[in-house]
Amino acid sequence: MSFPSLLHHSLSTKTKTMFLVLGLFIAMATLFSVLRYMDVKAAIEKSRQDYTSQIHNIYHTALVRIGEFYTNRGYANLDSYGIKEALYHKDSTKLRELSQQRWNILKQENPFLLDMRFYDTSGESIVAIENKGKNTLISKKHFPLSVTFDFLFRNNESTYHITIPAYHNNQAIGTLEFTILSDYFLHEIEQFSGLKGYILSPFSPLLIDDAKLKKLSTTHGDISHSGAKTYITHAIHMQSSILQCTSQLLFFQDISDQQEKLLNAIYEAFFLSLGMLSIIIIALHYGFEVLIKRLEESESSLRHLNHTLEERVNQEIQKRYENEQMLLHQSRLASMGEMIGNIAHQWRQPLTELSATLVHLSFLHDLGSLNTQTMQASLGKAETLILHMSKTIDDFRNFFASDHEEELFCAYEAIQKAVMLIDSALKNNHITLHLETTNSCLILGYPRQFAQVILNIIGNAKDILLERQVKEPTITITLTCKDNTTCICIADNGGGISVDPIEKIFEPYVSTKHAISGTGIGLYMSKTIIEKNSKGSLRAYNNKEGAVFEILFSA
Amino acid sequence: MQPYLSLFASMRILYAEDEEGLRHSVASILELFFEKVFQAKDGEEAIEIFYEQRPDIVLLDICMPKMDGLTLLKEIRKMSKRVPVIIMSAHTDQNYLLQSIELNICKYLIKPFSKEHFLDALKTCAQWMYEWGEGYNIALDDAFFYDPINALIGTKDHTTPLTKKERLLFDYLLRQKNRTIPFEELELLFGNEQVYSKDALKALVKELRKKLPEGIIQNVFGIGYCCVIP
Repeated sequence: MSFPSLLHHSLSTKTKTMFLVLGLFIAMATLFSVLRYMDVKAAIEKSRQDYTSQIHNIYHTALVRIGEFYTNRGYANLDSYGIKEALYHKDSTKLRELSQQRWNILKQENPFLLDMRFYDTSGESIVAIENKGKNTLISKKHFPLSVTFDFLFRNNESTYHITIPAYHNNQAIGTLEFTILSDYFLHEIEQFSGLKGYILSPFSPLLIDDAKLKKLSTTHGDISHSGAKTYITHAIHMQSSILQCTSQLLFFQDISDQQEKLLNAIYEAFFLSLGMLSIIIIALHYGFEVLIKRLEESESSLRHLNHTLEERVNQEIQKRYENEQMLLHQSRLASMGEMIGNIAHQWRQPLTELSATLVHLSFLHDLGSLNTQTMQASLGKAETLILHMSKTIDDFRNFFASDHEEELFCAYEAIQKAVMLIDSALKNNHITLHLETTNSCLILGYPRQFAQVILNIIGNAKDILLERQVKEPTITITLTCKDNTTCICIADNGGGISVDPIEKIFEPYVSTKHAISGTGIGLYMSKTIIEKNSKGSLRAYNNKEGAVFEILFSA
Repeated sequence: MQPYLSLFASMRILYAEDEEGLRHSVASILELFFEKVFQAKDGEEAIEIFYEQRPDIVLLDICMPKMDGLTLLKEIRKMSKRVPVIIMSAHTDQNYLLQSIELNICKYLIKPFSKEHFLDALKTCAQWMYEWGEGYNIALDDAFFYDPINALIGTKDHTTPLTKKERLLFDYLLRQKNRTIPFEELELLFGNEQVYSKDALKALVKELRKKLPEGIIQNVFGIGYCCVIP
């Protein structure tokens, strides 16, 4: 992954993310606006409906109230003194005379009251107090025997009629009819709602004095515009059951405010969204600017890292390799040092003997008593010694030669080889070595490397025994094999390993010895040899007398 | 051959070494010069021989089983301050050397040794024993000297040879000068040949005194003789 493609990718990501966020925001804003609009609209609608129902309520209340009121007034009038009698006798003068005062009061109470009439049982008008109004419910064909209420839309008049039949001894004697102008209802509603109403009847033209309202729709619930204003039409149907037709009370409610409110809500939402949008764009822009800057910085360091990684890895590998080589070299040097030390020990005795033999010969010669026999014996002795020394060198060379392939070897023999090399060094330092075994055990591996490990461990034990000046220093090697597992234990009585944790002694450069004698590599190499090359295990622990090194091989 | 080697012909040496081959080789060299070589294979054996035989010289290996050379040397020094001891060791370690010097050794011989070193060690031993000056002569007083190698005693102008027995006795006294040596010890000196009586010893001392300046051999009454050299 290279840097430019990453950068490109990040830029594209910025745009994408910005678009995504903006898109989301716009969607949200739209949703919000729509919700808000719906909300406002619903509120307006509700207020409208409320308004409508209010108007209807007023209308109906007025209708009921006026019906009851005039029914009562009618009964009261009929029950008044002489009314029924006059009605019975169809005495119009008497009726007018008796009703005049009441009428005056009623007329005063309700200016929309048009007339009060008395009819006889055949439907003939006896008297009309005001004689106003052309419409009547009562006719020869229609003579209601109970109280009736109805509208009549005739003769350019829209009226509401209440008829009250009069009985005398359960016999109908006539009817009283009140006629009220429908405008009364307009008036009632206007009283409550402040709306001016108009009556639309099927046979008379709509009379609207206000020119602005003339163009408006007459259908209930319609919204129409006139000039800068918006109106909603409320219509109340007045049912004329006798004529089988309806007339309408029309009210035009000015809803410009609400409409404006609605528009305002939309504008508000729009501008709010726009504001938020710009803020978000700015925030996103700067945010991304910062982010990208950081990204670029980390990218740059990453790129640098990327660039140098391989180099560094190679360097590290090289370093490691060199370290390993150095370690190997040091280990080799240490081994060589040990080997030379051991050879020196091994050779010291035969060398001294050889020198003694030569000195002896020389003295004999000086004394003149050197005979052939002594000469031969001494030469033979010298030769044997030299051969022995030569063999020792061969042993050492063999011992430190490298193994080429894995083979099955006898552990006891390998241990003996190692012991042979260090034997003199141990003896010279009065260290006793016990090698205990029950049987010869076979191991698959590298015999020389194995023997070198044994030698290394014995050498370490020797060094520590000498350094600590242990009394009666002893090293015990126990070789056992059981159930395909070969175990070699090398124990000393040197007091144990002082490194904590003990496993640390297997790390390179960790040494418990003095700087002169230890490089700290021996055990590291030993562990490597046993565990990596030979699939065995090497561990160390302390017992009550000293350190124990345990090598395990599982077949 | 070096003249001083003849001095050892009447001496006995204790040699301690655990390596058998080496012990035999070195012992056969020693046998060329010494009257008797006692061989010990370890420290314990060496100390026993030392008790019994009172050798004139001790040659020790440091590394030995049972009792190492230095311990052995300490034991010897408890009994005898003057017996010359040569240490023979493969140890070039300073530690051993310093410890040995403290125990008053006369030579530290490093294995393996050359003929020169070996001779040098023996020479140092002889010197240690006789404390001679120039030309191996030991001054007895202003005029008289003793030549231990040729067993001659006298002045520049005239010398008298000592008999074998006189020489043996005088060497013995001289090597342990200023120490009173009991009669019994001196009687043993000739043990190999015959039982030497006190009277015979007295007669021998009398003969010896004639050849020596006055006051060299003093009689400590009832105990023994003492060689006093000013």
